[in-house]
Amino acid sequence: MKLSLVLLLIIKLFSTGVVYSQEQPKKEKYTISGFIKEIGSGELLVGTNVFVPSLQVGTTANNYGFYSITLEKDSVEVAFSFVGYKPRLFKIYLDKNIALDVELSSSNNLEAVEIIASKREKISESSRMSVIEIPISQIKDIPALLGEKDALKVIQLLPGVQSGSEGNSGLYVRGGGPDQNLIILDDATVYNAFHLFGFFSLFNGDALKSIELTKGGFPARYGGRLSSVLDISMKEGSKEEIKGEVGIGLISSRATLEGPLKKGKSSFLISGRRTYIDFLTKPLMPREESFGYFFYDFNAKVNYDFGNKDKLYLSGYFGRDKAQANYNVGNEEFELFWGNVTGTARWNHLFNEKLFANTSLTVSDYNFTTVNKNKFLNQDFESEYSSGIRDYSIKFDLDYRPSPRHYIRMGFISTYHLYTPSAVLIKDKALNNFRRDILTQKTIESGIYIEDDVHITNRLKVNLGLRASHFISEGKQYLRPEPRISGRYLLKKDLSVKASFASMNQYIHLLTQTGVGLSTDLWVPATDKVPPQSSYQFAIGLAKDLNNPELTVSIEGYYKKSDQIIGYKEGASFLTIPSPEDNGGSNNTIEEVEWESKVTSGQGWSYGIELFVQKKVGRFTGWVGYTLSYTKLQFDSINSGEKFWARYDRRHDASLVGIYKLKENEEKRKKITLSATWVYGTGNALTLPVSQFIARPNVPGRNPDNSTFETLNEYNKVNDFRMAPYHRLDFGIQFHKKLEKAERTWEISIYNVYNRKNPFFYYVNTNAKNERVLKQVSLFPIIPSFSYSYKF
Amino acid sequence: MNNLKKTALLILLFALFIGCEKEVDNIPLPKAEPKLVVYSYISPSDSIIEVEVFISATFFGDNKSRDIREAVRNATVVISSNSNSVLIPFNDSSNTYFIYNNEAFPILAGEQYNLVVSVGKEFSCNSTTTVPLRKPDQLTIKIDSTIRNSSEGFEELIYNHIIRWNDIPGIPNYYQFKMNIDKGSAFSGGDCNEIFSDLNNDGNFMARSCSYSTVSFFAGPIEGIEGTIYLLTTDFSYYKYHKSLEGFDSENPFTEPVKIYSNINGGLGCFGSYLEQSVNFKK
Repeated sequence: MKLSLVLLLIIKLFSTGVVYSQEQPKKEKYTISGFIKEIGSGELLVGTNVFVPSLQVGTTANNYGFYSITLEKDSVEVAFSFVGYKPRLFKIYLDKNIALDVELSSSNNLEAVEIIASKREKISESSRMSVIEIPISQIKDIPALLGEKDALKVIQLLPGVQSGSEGNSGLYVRGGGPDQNLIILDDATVYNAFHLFGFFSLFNGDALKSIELTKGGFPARYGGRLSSVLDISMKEGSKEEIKGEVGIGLISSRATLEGPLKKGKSSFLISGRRTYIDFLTKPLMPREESFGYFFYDFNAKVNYDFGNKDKLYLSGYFGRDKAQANYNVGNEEFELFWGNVTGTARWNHLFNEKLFANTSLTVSDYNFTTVNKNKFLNQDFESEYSSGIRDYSIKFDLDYRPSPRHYIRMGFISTYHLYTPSAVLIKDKALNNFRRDILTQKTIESGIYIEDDVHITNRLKVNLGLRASHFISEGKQYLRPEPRISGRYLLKKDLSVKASFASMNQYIHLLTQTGVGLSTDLWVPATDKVPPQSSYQFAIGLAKDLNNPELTVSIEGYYKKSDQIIGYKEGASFLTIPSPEDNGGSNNTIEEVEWESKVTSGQGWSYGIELFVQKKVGRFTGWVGYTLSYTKLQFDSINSGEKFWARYDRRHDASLVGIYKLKENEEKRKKITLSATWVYGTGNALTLPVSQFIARPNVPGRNPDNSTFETLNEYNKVNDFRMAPYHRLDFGIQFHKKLEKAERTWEISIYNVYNRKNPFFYYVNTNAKNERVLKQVSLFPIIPSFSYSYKF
Repeated sequence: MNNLKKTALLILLFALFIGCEKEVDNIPLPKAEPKLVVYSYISPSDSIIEVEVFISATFFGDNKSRDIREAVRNATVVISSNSNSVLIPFNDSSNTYFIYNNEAFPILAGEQYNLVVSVGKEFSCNSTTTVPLRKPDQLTIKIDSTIRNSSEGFEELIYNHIIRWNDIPGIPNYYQFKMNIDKGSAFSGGDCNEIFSDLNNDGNFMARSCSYSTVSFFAGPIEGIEGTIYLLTTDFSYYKYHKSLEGFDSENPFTEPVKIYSNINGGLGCFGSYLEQSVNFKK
C-alpha cells in the first residue's frame, strides 16, 4: 500500500514536469552536454557545478564527470565551477544540441577566485543533507599519526562520525557500528578497510580522486548498510603526460606513477605502499623469539576513451597484512595474514546527450588466515584457520536529465556473496592425519532503484527515491521496499531548511571480537534465526552559505531507530567459535559452536545534533565540528532486557581542523603550509565489576570439592561506567619547494602535542598494597615524525 | 588454545608492547557494600537440607575485607514452608548449615519454601523456591556401542548412553542432565553436564546423550566401569543460575561480561529446588 502511494507520487511529479512545459508557449529545446576535466591531466572532475545565471538553473557533473543541461533556444551564458579550480564562463547561442567538453585549471591553494557570473556550489541549494565531501588535497595537508596520511582518520574528524579507540580507523556514524558502513572503492565493496589491526586505513591518498560520506538522507542509489556510505573513487591517471610521486616516511614508503597510454585517449595509474617496521626491528629481536609485521597495498587503474560515447575503466586494489611470531628457536611459528582484493570493470555509454549509462562488474574478496606450525622431532603439525567473503556484482545505472528541473537516476545491482565463515586445515605428520573442513554459504543480494532530484518550485527542491532490496539465502528470502526522501526549502537567499527520511536494510552481519575486533572480522549472512538488520532515520537541519568570510554552516538533528541489530550474548566469545579441536566432549553441544547461538537481535536508538562550520577556500581552510549524541541499545537477553548505553555512545564529540598556507616566496619558489587538529570525545562506555563472590553450582552425585571455588564477578548494569575522555592536539608543517620540473615537500608532524595519556583499554590488576585497581593502557605518547615526498 | 585466541592475544601483546600503562585515578570506580552470598538446593530425594553462606567483597580497592571463600559461621538461617519453620544450625565438620530432610521438616514436591539468612543487624537476605510438582515420565535409557577405527591405528570401543523422556506439557520445564563415572576410568568422555529447558519442545519427547570410549590396543578393553545418569527437573531459579554460570569464563579476557543470576533478595547466590531421577549403569 505504502509502496503504491510512493509510486503514484513519483508519477505525479513527473507529470507535473510535463504540465509545466505544456502551459508555456512551445519553444524548441536543446541540450548542452559533455565531460568536465582538469587541464593538464584530463582527470574527470566529479560534482562540478554547472549554472545558468540568467535562468537561475543548474546541474552538477556525475561520478564520471558527465553533465547535461537542456534549455530553450536562446543565447545563454553557462558557468562551470569546482572548488579549487578557476571557474569558466561560456557564451553560447543555443540553436542545436551542443557537445561541450570543458577543461578547468587548478587554482592555487583552493583560493577564492573572483566569481564573475558564476557561483560556487552552495550547500543551501542542494537537496541532499548529511553529506560531506573531503577534498583529497586537504587530507594530504592534515597532520597524521607517524606521517601516514589516512582518509578514514580525516573522516573521523567530521561531526556525526566517531573513532572507536586510540588510533583506530573504524567509523562509528550516528551511533552505528563499523559493520554498518558501506565502503565502496570504484563500485566494489571493501569489507575490511584497515591495515595494522585498524591503525591505518587501506586507502592510499595518492591514488584517490574523491571521497564522499553520506550519514543520512541516503539517496535511493545506495543500499545494503544501515549507517553510512563512503563512496571512494580512484584517480584515472593523467592522459597528457607522465607524472609521479614518491614519498618516504617513518614506517612506510609509497610511489605513484600515472600517464597516458595513448595521448588523450587512454591513461594508467599505479600506486603502491609498503611498511618496513619488520626490516628495522629484525636485528633487535632475540633469536629464540621474534615478531614481525608488514603491510603493503597496490592500486592500479587504466582507462580507454572510445570517443565521446563510450569509455572503459579497469581498476583494482590489492593489499595484504602479515604478522608473524616465532617461538622456541623457530620450532613454533604463528602467522596471521589478511587482505582485500577488489576489481572493477566499468563501461560508460552515452545513449544521447540526456541519457548516460554506466555498467560495472566488480569482484571483492576479503580473507584472513591464521597458521600455527609446530616442529617437534621432525614430526610437523600445522593447523590453519581461515575465514572470508567473496562478492561478484553487476551494477547498471542510468542518468537521465530531461530538463534542468529533473535529474532522474535509476538502476539495479545484484551481488553474489560467497561466505567462508570457517575453513580449517590440519596437517599432522606424526599421526599421518590430514583434515580439511570448509564451511561455505551462498546468497544473492539485489537492489533496484529510481530517484529524481526535482525542483518543485524555485524554493523547494526534493530528492525523491524508492529502492527495493531483495535477498535470497539458502531457503529464505526477503523483499523490502526502502523509501527515501530528502529536500530543501530556501527560506531566503543562501539559507535553507532541510529534511530527510531514509529506510535501510542490511543483509549481512559482522561478527567481531569485543574490544579488540579488527582483523578477526567474520562476515556472515542474515539467516532465519538472525534476520536482516533494518533502520529508519529522520533528519532536519538548516544550511547557510556565508560570503564574507566564505563559510558553509550547517546544523542538523537526527533520530535513527534500528531493529534486529546484532549483539553478543553475555559470555559469548567468537574466539572459540570455529575451533574444531574443541568439538569433542559432549554430544549435545553442537549448537553451541554455531555463531547463531552466540548472537542476539535487538534494537537501537540514536539521536543527536551536529554542527559543522567549514571553510573550503582561501589561505585558511578547515572546519569546526561538534556533535551531541545519545545511543542506546536493548536486547532481551542482555542486561536483563533493559536499555543500556552503547559502548560507543559519545555525549560530546568535537573537532577543530585548520590549515594555513603561507604566502609563497616567489623568488625562492618556496611555500609553507601549517596545519593543526584538535579532537575531544567523551570516554567510551564500559562495564566494570562491582564485587566478587564465589560460585557453588549443584553437581548431582558429587559433593562439591571445597578447594575449587570459582570466583564470580557481580556487575550492576551493562556499560554504566565511562572511560576517561579522549583529547589530542596534532600539528604539522610542510615545506614545499618547486624545482624545475618537480616539487619536493618536507613534512614534520607532531602527534599528541601535549602528550595526553588517552585510554586505549583498561584491565584489572593489583597494586603494591595488594588492592585491586584498574589499569589504563595508553598507546601513543607525543610522536614526532617526518616524511619526504617528491612529485614530478 | 585455538588460533583465534592467539590472534587476539597477539594484538593485545602488540598494544602492551608499544603502549604505556598507569593506574586509573581520573574516573570514579564502583564501590559495593559486602553482601551475603547464599546457596541452597533442596530436593525431596536429598537426605539433607544444606545451606552455604559466604560474604562478597567489593571489587576495587579495599582488600582488607574477609576472604570470600570463608564460610560465615554466625548466621541465623531459617527455612520455612507454609506450615512449618525451622532454624538450621551451623555444622563445623561440613562448614555449612544443615538439617536432615525428614518428617520434622520434609521437602515435598510442589511446596513453596522460604529461606531467611541474617548476620546480626548488618546483613539480611531472603529467597523463595517452589519445588517442581512432577517428574517427567516414560524415562528410558539406551546404551549403544560402536567400534571406531582411529587414524592412529587402534580401535576404540565407544559406549553411548541415550536418555529419553516425555516432557510434561503445558508448563515450562527446566532440566539438568549429568552423567558421572563413579568407578573405573574411561579412555575419554563420560563426564557430561548440561542445563537446558523445554523451550520449543513442550510436551515432546526429549533426549540427551553422553558417551565414553575404551581402548583395545594398548591395555585391552577397560572393564568394570560403573556410573550414574541423572535427570533433574529443576525450578526456574536453579536453571537460570546454572545457565548464567555456563557463560562465565574468567580465563578469557575477550568474553562479554556475564551477569550471574541471583534470586536472593538483598544478597547474591541461588536458592533452588529439583526433583531427581537417576539410573546406574555398569559395564
